[in-house]
Amino acid sequence: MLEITHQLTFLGLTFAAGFIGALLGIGGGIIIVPALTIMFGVPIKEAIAISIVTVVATSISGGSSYVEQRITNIRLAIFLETSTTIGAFVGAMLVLVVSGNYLYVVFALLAFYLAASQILSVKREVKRTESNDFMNITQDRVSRYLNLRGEYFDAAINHKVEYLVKNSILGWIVSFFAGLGSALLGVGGGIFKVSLMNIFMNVPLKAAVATSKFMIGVTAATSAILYFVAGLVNLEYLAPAALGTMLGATVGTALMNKIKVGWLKVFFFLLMCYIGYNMLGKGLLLTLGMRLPFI
Amino acid sequence: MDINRPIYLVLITGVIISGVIFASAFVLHLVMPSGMEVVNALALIGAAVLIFTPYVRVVVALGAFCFNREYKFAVLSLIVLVMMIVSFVAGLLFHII
Repeated sequence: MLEITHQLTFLGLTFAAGFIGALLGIGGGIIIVPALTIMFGVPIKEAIAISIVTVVATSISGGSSYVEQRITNIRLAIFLETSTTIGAFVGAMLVLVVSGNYLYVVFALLAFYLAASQILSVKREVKRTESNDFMNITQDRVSRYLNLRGEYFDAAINHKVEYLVKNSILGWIVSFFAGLGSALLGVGGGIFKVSLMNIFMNVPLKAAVATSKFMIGVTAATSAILYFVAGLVNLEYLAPAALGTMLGATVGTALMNKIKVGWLKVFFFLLMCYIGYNMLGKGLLLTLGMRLPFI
Repeated sequence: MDINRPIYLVLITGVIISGVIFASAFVLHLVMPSGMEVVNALALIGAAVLIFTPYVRVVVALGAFCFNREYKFAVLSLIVLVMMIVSFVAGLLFHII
């Protein structure tokens, strides 16, 4: 049985994960899993199981708030969900025959590349958001056929931002690999989706964050059932974990639209660097036996 | 029909029901640490509501797109739903986890 102080610490911790996850459109497993294993001594598989359930919690609580605020692009989300669910399925099947270890290095490099793209595009994104300049592009055939576009009201600068989606085919393919990777490695679903939409598909960062938040629940729900069936979900941790992330996500989603997009980009850059380093460390450890500091 | 509305309602209903159940489990655990069976049962029900919500969300989106005659997106929603079910069944069959 968990002590009261433990319960409250745990609630606070998952609150923080839910909050950060809501601001950046990610699940927050990258925070919850290490915290559970290191601070509470929970076995890694059980920690992942709890984290997957909290991803569903944060996706529906954060997702509902962004849908209400009209930031989420539901049509774009459903389009990308087709490939991400197929990718997750293929990834889950691949787990049975190959090891995902070498993939850590590939995804680490991708994370560093996306981190660099995020930090290098801060000025441009701020300028484009402020001058509502996301419409000035040529759409590809698929984006045009599906009429993928959107708009949201940016509360930090007090005006509407409209955008056309581009590169839908590339987006669909990358989203397949995001699903595949998250099934093989158990992380990275949300992080890669936000960057994909923002950097390749001409979606403003806030809309990408809201849309990613909305999407991640779909693959996480399926994985969550499987973890339950396998008996890996420790019910004692569940209520505080889910409650904490839901509250954190509620506060995070209320704040996100008020923050200037430049700051969100910088937060995102820092997170991507951390994740890239973490994955590189794991990859090197598992493939070459090399240990980087703090891994 | 505005597609945001039904989807928002599904999500917020899932949030409120599971949130209340988890909060009851949490408070019960604090005030009555001996009642672990009830706490665990509540946590399980809360999780079931939580996990079920994204499935309902996809079904409702499918219905709403059909209602709007946006058949392209209805087909896409159907693909997502099928993939969710296929992954789940395959996961059980192959003991992926």
